[in-house]
Amino acid sequence: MKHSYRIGGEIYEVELLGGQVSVDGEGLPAEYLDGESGDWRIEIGGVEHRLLWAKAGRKLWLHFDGRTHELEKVAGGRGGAAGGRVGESQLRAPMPGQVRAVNVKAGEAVEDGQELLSLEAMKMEIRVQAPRAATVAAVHVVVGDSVDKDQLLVELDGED
Amino acid sequence: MPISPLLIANRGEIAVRIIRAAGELGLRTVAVYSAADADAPHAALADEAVEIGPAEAAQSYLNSDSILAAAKQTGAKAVHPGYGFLAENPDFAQAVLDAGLIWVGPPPEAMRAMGDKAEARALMEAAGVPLLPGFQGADTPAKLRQAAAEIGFPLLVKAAAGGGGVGMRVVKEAGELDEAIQAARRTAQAAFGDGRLLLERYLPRAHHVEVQVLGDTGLAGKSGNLVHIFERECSTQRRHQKIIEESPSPLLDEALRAQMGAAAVAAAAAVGYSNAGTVEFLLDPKTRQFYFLEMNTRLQVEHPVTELVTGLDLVQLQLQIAAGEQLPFSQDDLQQRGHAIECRIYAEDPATGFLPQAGTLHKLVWPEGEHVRVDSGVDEGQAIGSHYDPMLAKLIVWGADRPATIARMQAALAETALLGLTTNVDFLQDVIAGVDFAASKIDTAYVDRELADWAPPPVPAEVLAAAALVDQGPTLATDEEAPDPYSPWAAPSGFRIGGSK
Repeated sequence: MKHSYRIGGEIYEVELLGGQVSVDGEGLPAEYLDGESGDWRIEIGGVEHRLLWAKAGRKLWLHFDGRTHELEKVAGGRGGAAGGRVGESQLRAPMPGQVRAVNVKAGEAVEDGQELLSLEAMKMEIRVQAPRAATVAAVHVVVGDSVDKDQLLVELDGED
Repeated sequence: MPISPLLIANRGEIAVRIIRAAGELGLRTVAVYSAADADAPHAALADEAVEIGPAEAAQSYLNSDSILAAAKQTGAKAVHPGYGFLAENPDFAQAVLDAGLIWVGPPPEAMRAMGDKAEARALMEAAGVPLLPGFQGADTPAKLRQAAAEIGFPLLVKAAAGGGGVGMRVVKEAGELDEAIQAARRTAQAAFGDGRLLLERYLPRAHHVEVQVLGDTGLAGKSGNLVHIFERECSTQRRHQKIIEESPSPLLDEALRAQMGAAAVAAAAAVGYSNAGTVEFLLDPKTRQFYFLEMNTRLQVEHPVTELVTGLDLVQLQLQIAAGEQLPFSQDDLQQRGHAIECRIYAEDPATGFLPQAGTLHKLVWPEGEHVRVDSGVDEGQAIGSHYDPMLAKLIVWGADRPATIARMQAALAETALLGLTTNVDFLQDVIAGVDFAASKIDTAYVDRELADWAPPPVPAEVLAAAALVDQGPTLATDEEAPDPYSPWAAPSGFRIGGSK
């Protein structure tokens, strides 16, 4: 069976068949030894390890050899997961917070890096900057608004 | 005891800490919790628990009326505020006293004096405690510009009513001053309801060294005993907030330790301090000069490192002092032994500017062993939201000397598994293992300056192999053919293979 994972910005492909794992072409024997859900002993490349793991939706967390890793299951391998720059025209709140300053309005031309908005959350000030030179298509919030994570703040027109 | 029942006006790991310490002293405990914390460990641990409001801190943990009502309802005789929330709010402390309850902390007047950073600077000047060149007072833009020119750059713009690094801005040159003042004022107003600012010279490579003080309230007619309980080095910070602390500070020798201890006691005495507090200093490693930064009129997050090197229980001492007891030791009785390091475990992603993370702690495994201590406020299975500070727990270790303690911390971090959301454990591992930490070369701006591009190390092939094993299920891994998707074994979860439960 083939599995594809996104870790950080990269996609990795793994195939597991007949006790052998093939990771991007590199072959390793891999075996489950024992253990209950989330706490296993496994053998990889002839070495025994404790593996702690948890899954939720497409996310998989592993604690292995003293480090924790977060992986996201990706459908269809490298081709199917463009994992890219969707929505450079849509700037969203990275976390819940409150809008402290709105520096632009619809129709205004902005430069790459220009501060469009400022949010306050968790004792920090977060500056929302233009990812490229563009024209502001719409501003969806005003000073004092509470926003949720991923809430749409500003839309940009114009091309890269 | 006159302080039983004790109401703990806080949540998370510090509430658990205080409830346990109080329990050991035979006190009855009352926890308060917001609607978001109904299943939180601290609420379950106390003898009684009262819901005080919805998730938003302003309506629960910062809600003075609601907390006092809970005290009245449960017959609590004393309130311990922990740290953060209302712990440094003199109005709340006064309200507790006015309600006829005992406040586990210093007198409100001392809190007021030190809470206003501008007033504190003035008091320290009068007490002969060394200060950084700075300006406090009427903070019109014109006055600030003039003062800035006299202080010199780089400098810091700070909230006079603030603390904990919130809203501080470094200004490298005069051209940046106006914008920094506006932004700092905005943040100060929002965070503390008070937009007053002060300026201070910024020492770019300074170390943060703080001194623990402790005082009783004395016998009738006599002023209390005030001692210092040595220092903590807290220079590993991100965005002016501490993430690693240790004691003793590798930079201090006995002479400097004695000077700083004396200065801390003088600072506390200048405001008539009692109970536990911490005087924070900046230390210039080149000149070995130290300067008063601020005083925190409460228990500090990193108090465990002091406890491990002195054998004291600071929370129990706080409770005993509040109950009217005198300090059971004098300055000369106190000694440091060995070394201790604390790492703060945060639900945040160091690879994206330390943005706080939310999620569920599907799996939680803490390290165990001699001289390894975990102060945790979370349980396995707990949902972690974004309503409160993202600190989940503290990992503290002791060793006979600094290298042994660093090695023990590395091992403890490697055994720490928090699965279900991103935490800073990997990041802490890299910092602790680094040559700069070993050489005590970390100043307060180090993380922001040197580790801004930190990313987790590349994923080894073994980890991907392990992931495939998990996704495919234990016995499927040995099948020579691709599995039948209609077979009951095709779904890795839900079936137990090869044995009874």
